[in-house]
Amino acid sequence: MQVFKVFYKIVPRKFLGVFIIYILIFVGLMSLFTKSGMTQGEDAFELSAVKISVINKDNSTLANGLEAYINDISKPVKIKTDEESIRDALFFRETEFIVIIPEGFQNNFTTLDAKNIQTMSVPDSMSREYAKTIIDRYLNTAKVYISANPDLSIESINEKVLNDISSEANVSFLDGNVTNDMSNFNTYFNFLSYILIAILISMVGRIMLIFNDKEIKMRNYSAPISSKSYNYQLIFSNLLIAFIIWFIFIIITFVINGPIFNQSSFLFIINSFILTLLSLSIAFLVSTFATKKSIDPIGNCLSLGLAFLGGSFVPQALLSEQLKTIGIFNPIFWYVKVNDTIGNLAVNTQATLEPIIYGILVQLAFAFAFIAISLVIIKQKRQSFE
Amino acid sequence: MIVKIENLVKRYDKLIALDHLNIEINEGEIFGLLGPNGSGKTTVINCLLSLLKFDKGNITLFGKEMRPSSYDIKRNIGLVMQNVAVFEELTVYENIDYFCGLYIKDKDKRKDLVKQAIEFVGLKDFIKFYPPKLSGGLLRRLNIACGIAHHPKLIILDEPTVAVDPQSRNNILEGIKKLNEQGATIIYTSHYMEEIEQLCSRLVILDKGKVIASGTKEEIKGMISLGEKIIVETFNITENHMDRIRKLPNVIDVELRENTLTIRQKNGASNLVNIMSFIAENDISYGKIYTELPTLNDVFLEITGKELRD
Repeated sequence: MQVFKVFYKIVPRKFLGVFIIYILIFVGLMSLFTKSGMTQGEDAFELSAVKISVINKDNSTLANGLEAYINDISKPVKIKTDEESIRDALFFRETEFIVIIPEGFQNNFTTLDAKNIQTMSVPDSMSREYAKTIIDRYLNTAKVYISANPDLSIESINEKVLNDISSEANVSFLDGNVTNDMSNFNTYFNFLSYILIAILISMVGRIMLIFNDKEIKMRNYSAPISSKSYNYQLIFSNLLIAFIIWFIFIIITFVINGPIFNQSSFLFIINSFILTLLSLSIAFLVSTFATKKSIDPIGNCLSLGLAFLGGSFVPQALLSEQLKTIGIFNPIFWYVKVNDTIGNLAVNTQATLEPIIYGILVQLAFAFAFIAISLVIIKQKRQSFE
Repeated sequence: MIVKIENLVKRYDKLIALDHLNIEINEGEIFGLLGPNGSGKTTVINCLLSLLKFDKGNITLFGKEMRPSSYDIKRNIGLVMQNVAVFEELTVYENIDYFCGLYIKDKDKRKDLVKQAIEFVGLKDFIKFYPPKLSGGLLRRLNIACGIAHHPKLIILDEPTVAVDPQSRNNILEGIKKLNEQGATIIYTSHYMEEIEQLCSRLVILDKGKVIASGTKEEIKGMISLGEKIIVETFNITENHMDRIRKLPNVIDVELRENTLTIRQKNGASNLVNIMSFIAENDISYGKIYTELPTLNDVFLEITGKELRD
């Protein structure tokens, strides 16, 4: 086991520093993403509060009801009512939306010449539409009550409208497994594709370059050690180092996201293990043609390129159709696709597991293809030497 | 006989790298493979170690046919390659230990052998150094230590002194002599004829994959007509003088390069006297006059019409 021993003497000396840096960057970024909730599959809803100022010139029951409702679901901002102050408030973004309820608003509410509520907003403001929706919801509901029962007093209409529009519905997702934790898992494992390829090309690719050095190889082959044993020791060493790296990242997953053990997290782990084998095959392929000087640039281009095009950083849903078509030829695309499928998994049936198994098989096929190409290159090199 | 190469043919497409090569090496000798770059020396070594497939011929080592899986034979061979083949990431000690460990499994025995190898090449003060921190000469010594630490019976040294300073070269050559004295058979390839002359008891001269001469140094030198060279440092010699020197007894050839006149002659009792008399009679002014015995380069020159380092 001389080759195996030397392999593990070289690895910590040459790569421990690089590995720690990669881990720190990765853990830092993932912690940031998790804490700030920058996850890809957002499933939590939170009502956003817009800064709204209401200038109530009518002061009627209906107008007061509307004002109370607006103030209740927005961030009310009091401003002066003169024209200059209104403009200043918008210009300096003290408020985003101003509602002016005109005099006689209640009296004319049901008549055809109803005085419209005036609104002013910050130009190109997204909140304008939201604020208009709030107002329309109140007024439309009130109009429905008035037309359905004209005898109702304004007070009771106001009460009924407020009661109606303030009621909340509890939404439960059909796919019960989709929790925020699984979304964090999804983001983590998608991002892992970049870091695993980068690390494995950097470590395995470079160490293979050392052992593939022509002179070292010749010296080894002239010794009483079979090429089979030599290659098996190298393969075993590479598999073991890849496994160790993968295992460290799995531990980090649970450190960052908490110890969540369910079927989805198990599937994420399986998929990441397949990714590790795939990354190893890519690193192996790179080592067959790269040189000491070119392996780092090649590693960076491959890891970043495959991860970007595969949807590791940007959700696949946002990728263009062209990129999705090209993605079929990108193994990371399949890895991320499997992760996203696992992330959205509601129930585990044969039908829901099928796309996951299919994606895993595609990744394995890519890995075998890369190894086959590597072996062809090695054979070509050997023949040209002989 | 330790090595027997019979009718070895190695082709690279249309190029014949080794052309029906026959070499026999006896136990305990330092055998030289001399030839210019590209003559096939390294190819012979690679075929010998089964690192290269060959097209025809037989190679027998220690009385057994050599194959890639002849591990019992390989166990007795040490290889020191032309280029330094060590791990930059391992220390001097670890490198020697690793390569020795490919041959010797017993840890204690290996420890002893590594220690001996370190002492032999004089790297005791550098055992914790990494190869990039070593000078060229020390690196070559490490390269040798990695090849000989397991005490092989046959040591193959493929141009071990390329790009080495004169002092380190002398150390290496002395070391090789010592290894031979300790009982190892040495195969030494080089395109430096001085080294081969200094070290080897027998040799072959290779050119374009063919053996053009083989035997002891004396036998090889005896193959050519040249007996000695008389070299005269002169300043006013003319073409007429040179024509007349050519007609003197035993003179084979006369050549003038800048102010150095080289007269190549067959063996003769009064060659130097004849030349000195001619110089005196013709009033030719001169600085130094000396004689040189033929070198292996002269052998190569006479047989192939070109110099070893052409």
